[in-house]
Amino acid sequence: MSTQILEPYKVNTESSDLVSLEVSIGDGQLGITSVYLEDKKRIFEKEGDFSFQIGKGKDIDNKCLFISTMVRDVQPGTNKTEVTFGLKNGIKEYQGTLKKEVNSEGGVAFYAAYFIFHS
Amino acid sequence: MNKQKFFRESLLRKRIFFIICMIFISVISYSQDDHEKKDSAKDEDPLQFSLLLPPSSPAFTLLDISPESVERPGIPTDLIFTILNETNNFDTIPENFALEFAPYWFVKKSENADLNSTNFGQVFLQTLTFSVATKALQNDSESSSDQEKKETSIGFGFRFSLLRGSIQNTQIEELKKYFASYSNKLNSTIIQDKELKKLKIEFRKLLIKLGKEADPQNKVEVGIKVSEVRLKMDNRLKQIRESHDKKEKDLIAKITAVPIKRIGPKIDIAGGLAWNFPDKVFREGELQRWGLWANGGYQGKSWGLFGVLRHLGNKSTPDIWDIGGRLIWDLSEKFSISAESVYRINVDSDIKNEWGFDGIMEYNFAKNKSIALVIGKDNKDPLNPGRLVAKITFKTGFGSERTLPSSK
Repeated sequence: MSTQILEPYKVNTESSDLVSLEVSIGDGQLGITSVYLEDKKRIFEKEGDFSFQIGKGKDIDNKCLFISTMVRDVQPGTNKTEVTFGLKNGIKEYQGTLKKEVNSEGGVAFYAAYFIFHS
Repeated sequence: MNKQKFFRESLLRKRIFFIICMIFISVISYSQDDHEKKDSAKDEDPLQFSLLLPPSSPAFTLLDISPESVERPGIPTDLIFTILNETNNFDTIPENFALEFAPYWFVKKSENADLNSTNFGQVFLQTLTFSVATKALQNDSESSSDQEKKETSIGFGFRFSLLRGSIQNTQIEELKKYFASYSNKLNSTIIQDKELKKLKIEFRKLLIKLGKEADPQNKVEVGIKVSEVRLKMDNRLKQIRESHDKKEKDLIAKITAVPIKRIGPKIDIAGGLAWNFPDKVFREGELQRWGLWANGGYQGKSWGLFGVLRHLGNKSTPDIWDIGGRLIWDLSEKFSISAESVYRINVDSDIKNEWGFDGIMEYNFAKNKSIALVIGKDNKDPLNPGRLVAKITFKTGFGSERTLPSSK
């Protein structure tokens, strides 16, 4: 079961809409996400679900977005973990879900998403 | 310097605990009289608080099984498929089968599934689980015609919480601290990787070429190259992550070791029923055992106060009620002391109602493994009241490594 996504994402360089990233943690587990844009330091960090505006298409064209997510199993009823990454306000919307079952209660799963913006 | 001091103190605590254990092993005070053992459920159910806690899978507990393999379907179609497959399209009762599922997580994902919700309805739905198990029994009959007969037991169970406490921000902040270090280092490694950089440049050029290409045949060829380079990038990213995880094993261990404990009031309920089916004949099935557990109390950061109520019924023996309480104090993440007391009521029986109490020192020396020193009055045998017991117990989890049913 893969725990990473690597995708090109086409942005609209003539639109003033901000491309936004959405992350949601499934199965009621505890998730923490760090977001990095191109070669910069971390630009955002959040626990749980969130929506974050990255920038206008013309500002992020030819850059890469790296997202690192950690999910800790805190639900006694399941060892399953799941993360959904989504991008909006580009040419098309994107959504991808990754899943992993941890080996033991309280286990941790690490996920990664790598998006290459282009026009 | 602080690390050395901490290590010395930790080692000293372990040594003191070990010495105390050795002293008590050598002076065990234990009275045993020769008397006929009564055949009752109480002999199988010692008056220990931890064993009275609501089980995570009541069906397994009532059938007295610890299955190595448990089906845990995550979506409705998986559940239906599992049942149809194991029962051969509802034609047979499977032997030695175990199933557990949480219906809420079939249909709800992250929306409205607040991790720290205190709404009774939300907590109930998020924590509700069902367990089903079957067990094949050999019928111990002396009659030659009955020797081949088998019984099958089927158990059904449920468990839910009404109150579960909440995960504290301080615990999350500690997790964030370690994770920030992990992901910052990973990001640096990705940025500096020359091979990934080269592939990225090639990928971008191909994407531009694909966008500009008008000829359909050429478009297909460029598209294939784009896919190939994308696959190379994906593999390279995987290699970087694997190598990073190997290098940062200690950091990952710290992330896993951060204690995530729900603090606050807690109420857990569980129940179950078990039937026996002689020779797998459905109409001859009989309700054999039943149980109801309730646990309530308050979990603080380093202490907990809990009460427990358990009712166990058995077709062939009188029902029992167990009422107990426990106060626990965590001296450190691995070491705790507690005092507990349990009162057993034997319903409709000549067996005298009985008290038991224990003082416990427990040490979790590894994940899901603990050793405990127990001293107390364990009144299992009503003909021999006031028996003082001192013992060492060792607990370890197998199979799916669920948390041991201790004070936690």
